[in-house]
Amino acid sequence: MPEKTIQLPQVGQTPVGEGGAGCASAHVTGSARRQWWFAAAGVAAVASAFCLILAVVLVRELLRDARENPLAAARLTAIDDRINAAEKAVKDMEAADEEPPAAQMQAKYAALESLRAEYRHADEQIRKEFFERRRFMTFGGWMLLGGAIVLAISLKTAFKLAEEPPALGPMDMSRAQPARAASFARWAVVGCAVAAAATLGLVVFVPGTTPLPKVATDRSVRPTTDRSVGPTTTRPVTEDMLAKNWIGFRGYMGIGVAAPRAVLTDWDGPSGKNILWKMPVPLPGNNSPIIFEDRLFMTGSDGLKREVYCFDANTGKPIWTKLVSKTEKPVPDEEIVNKGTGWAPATMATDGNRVMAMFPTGELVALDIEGNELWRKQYDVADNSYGHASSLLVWNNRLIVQLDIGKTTKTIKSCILALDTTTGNEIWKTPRPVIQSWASPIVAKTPSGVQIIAAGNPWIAAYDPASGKEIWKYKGFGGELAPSPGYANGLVYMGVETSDLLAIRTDLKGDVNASAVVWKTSEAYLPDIVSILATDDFVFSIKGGRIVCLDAKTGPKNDEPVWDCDVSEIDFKASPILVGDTVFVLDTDGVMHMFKVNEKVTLTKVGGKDVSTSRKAKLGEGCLATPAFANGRIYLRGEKNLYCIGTK
Amino acid sequence: MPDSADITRRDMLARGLRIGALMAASGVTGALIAKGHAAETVWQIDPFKCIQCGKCATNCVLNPSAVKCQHNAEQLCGYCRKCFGYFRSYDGNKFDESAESQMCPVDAIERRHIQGEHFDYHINTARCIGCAKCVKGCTIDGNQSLFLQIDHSRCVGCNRCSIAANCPSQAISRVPISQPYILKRSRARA
Amino acid sequence: MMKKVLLSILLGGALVGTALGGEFPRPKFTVPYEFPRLIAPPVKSAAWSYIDTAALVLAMSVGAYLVLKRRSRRGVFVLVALSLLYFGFYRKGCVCAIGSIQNVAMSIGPNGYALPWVVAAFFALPLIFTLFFGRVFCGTTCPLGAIQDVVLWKAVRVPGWLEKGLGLFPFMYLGLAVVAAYLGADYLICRYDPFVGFFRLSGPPHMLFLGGVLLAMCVFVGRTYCRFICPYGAILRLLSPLSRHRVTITPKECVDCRLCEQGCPFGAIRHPTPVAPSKNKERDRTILLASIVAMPALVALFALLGRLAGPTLSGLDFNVKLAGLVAMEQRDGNLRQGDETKKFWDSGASPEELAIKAQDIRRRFTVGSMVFGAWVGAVIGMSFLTASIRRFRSGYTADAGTCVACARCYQTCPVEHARRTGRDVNEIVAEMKTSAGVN
Repeated sequence: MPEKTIQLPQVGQTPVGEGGAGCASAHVTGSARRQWWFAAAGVAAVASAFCLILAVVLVRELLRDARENPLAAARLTAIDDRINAAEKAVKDMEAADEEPPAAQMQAKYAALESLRAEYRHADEQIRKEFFERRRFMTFGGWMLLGGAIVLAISLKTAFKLAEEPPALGPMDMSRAQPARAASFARWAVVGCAVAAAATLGLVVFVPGTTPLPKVATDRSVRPTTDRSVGPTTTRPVTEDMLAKNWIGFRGYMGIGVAAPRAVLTDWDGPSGKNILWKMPVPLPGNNSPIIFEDRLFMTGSDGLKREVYCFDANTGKPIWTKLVSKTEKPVPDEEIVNKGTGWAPATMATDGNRVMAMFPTGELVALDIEGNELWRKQYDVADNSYGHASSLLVWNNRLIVQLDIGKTTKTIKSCILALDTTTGNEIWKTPRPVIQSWASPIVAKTPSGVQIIAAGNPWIAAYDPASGKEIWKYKGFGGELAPSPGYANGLVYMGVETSDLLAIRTDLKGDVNASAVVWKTSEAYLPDIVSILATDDFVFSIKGGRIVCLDAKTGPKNDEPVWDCDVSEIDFKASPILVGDTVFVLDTDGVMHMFKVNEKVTLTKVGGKDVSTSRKAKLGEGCLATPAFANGRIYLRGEKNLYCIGTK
Repeated sequence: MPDSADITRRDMLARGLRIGALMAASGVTGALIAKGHAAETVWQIDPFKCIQCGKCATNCVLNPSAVKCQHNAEQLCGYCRKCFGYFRSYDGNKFDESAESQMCPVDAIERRHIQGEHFDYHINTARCIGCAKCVKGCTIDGNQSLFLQIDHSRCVGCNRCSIAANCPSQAISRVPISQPYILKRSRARA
Repeated sequence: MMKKVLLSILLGGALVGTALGGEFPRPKFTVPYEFPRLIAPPVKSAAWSYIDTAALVLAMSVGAYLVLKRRSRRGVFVLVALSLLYFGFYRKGCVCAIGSIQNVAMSIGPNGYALPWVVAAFFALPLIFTLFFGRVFCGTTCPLGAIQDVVLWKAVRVPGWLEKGLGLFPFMYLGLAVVAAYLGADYLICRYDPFVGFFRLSGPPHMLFLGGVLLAMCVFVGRTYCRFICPYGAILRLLSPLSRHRVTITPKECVDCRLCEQGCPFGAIRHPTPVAPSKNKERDRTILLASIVAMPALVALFALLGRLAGPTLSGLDFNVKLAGLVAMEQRDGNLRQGDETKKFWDSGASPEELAIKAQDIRRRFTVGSMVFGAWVGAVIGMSFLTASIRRFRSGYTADAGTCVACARCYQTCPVEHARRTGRDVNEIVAEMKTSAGVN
């Protein structure tokens, strides 16, 4: 209590007990008062010096503590560098062809060891210092508080003792000027108002306001007009017709399942056995032909010219050729389009009245079946290593375009969109947080409704075909994602090498990473190019020359697939297609491998070579494009020729 | 000079206002308590949202932070010899068990040999500063058995939780006081 | 996955199989080993809520008794020191009445925040006590007031006009803090609490520095925070004039010594006004009328300013901030701005949806900021008005609004002195005059 210090014996009249310091101090005699003042001021000076020094030291320690990471101390990193150098020296010595003298070896090992010991010692020391500092900071905080209390008491006492005696007596009322005081107060308020207005004004014009992207407030999806009858050349197309024909990559819905119909399994290209017709391909391309009724369409490009071709499906006679565009230089660059992808990798799609084609140049063009251009779009040229290759998909008079062209997920260049096939108008567009991929979208008719499913890196996601709204998404794919997903019985199957192959439920909503995986495997046979084919009971995963059949419900049991057949001499690039109960897989040499869905394919030796037990038919030329099946015939696009396999 | 009648009037006014203010203050407060009869809440980190940025160590008003590492050794730990939470991340060809490879800046992880290639790891919470280095290592390369939690025996329960405001992944939110911890019992959210 | 595979290959064959599966399996020990159970750390006892509330009621009751009944400065000082130690240093300043304003505002707001009863108690009890006993909470219980009170050694008188002008700030701060909390943007009062860092003996360096400067100021300008910043004090300043009992200067036996006025470090003692009526009644009336008319104009002007400032203020919100960063990164694909946006992109959330959300928030901020502007206008208008109203006082009185019930005036008053010691007032005054050299 500061008051205590001035309860002096000299002050006879000073009231005892609750003696007000203000009154009491006035009675302390001059010299005694000065002595006490000196004492208090001295204590205050010492205390303030103590507090100041301590505060400075503490602040320094605090800043050091915030800034320094004991593990990244310069002392340690320096030793670390030396250790690295010593390790390298030891390794070089060990790798050298001639063994150096034993003494030299010993010296190098010893040097490394001593460096390590030095590091450990420094590490221990630094950690010790760190904890020491922590302890000091806690202790110092309390010391500072104690110092502050002493300072408070001594200063208060000093101030009290130095206090001038108060002026006494009533106020001179004539000097009170209430009007003037009121005027002053009003001006102060005005000043305050100006300050407040200025502050708010400054906030208004401060440049820190982050601009937000403009977004339309009305997000309702544009009403979709169901145009079954379009302009002049259209004819009624039923879903049944679309399903029977081959309207896009891997057929109707894009899942690699053809309408069940008996097809030939026996042909021979070189001898012409069961080859209905054969036509040279004008410009190369790895896209598959599409067929609607009596016409076949496909694209070709040499990098400079991009063309769409129409053939008579029954005779192979070319009907028309449409030049879509021409450039001086190959687009994309020759360097980035590798031979495997080519300049026309994307398969076309048709709604029966119009055919749509897309090229790695970002050009999307719609033609009527006579080759007249209906509409055209230009998208960004994909910023990726092989050029855009995702095939088109048609569903319910809408063209679905998977544009996974972002280099990173940050730019969100990737999206999936639906265009009205008649007009090219965008019906919906949904951004996709994925980077570049080469997969194609599929349609899944799930028990809970139709979904458009598109796989990407890292997400696979399902979209509502009507609104484009994302239904679910699963994150888990990496690398160069080229295979497209498979679908059967409410489950989507997707896999790519370096990630997992898994079965995902389609009846959940939102981010389904934690909930939707039915089974999952990360074995070495996951596909790199070839799409997944799923049937009711089995899932086929193809990589290189290896075909693996897995149980669709459970995946590999004890890491064992149903069967696994690896013919190392062959390579598959085309996707497998299921027709009825037969799976057709075309290898890069143009040999079709055929087996029943429930048949176990194994290896046999023929003439000292491994061959699979599947049935085979030879085309006679290399073939990368996925085969097309329509009207009981098989259409194959070889490197040089287009073939139709069937009987008259 | 105000007369007595004036004083009475002013007193009456003051009394009226006082009663009004009293009723308003208690009424509003009562209504708010009644409205929020939902449980009282405390701050907590959702380990499944945490990205181990390390800001918990530096942004808590307490030093060391009230955020501590927790370890689910019971269900998730692999008892690895080469623990990615204990040793610094694999770096080229250098990976050994010497002191220079340890990651924790404050020696808060205690390692004990159990059997064969297996070690037990225990977090000394008094030392832990919540820097998340070990959590990051274990989450990216390991079994994800380490995770951060706000230790409610230390948290002062600031209104404006400073680490919550600075969390880049918005992983810190208020949870009911009856369940003040979100313990990680599986690798994915159950 | 890739990384894990690589790692396992590098780490040697034993681990490869397990790592491919995604994790390292739990070992089976043959030596006796008990797997440690995952136990949640303990939680602070809920009893603290009751203890704190009880301490609050006790401190304020004892304070009211000491100030109004015992009229003892020494008792108040002891209580202040105890409050500082308990609410400040021991409880580390958390749950405090000043901050509780924000919790109340937030629980009214649209964020679905539930108000804990202890916070409600800390908000309401001081208000109720003030309505009965004046600002005894400020003078005896509040730890922020206490830390300033104990360092007040050499009070300097702040001129009336400055006091009036700066006195507007707490009301504006109150408005800002309430709007910010209502919108769920920030707890400004807590963020800019200058003294809580001292209570916790740690804190952000800039706030510790600011607190140190403010505390140094409090040595000369008594309770700087209470008078010119504290938003809870602003509320109490309005309520205290309605209180049933409050600090009074012995009106009957006042000897007109002026000691109380000089002894009050907070300028809360008003001297008597001259009896003579104002010479310029006409002018006074015009000013009064003008200030009443100016009120709506001020409200409108500041509301407009607030509306314009809204978009900038919305930058306080996390989502708005994030949306801005995301938009920037969308424009420039190579930009990397830290963990926030990285996490956002990783989550696969739609930037469009975020932008829509941010715009909604920005809209709410604009409205909130407009309300805040209107409040500032109203505060300025009201303050101008009250500056133009004159009150008549016949003796020395403690101003009901600004008096924080510190009981210092009792200590200087010779009448109180006489009451305590049983001596004659005139004798004491004469003695004081002698020692002061006044005749």
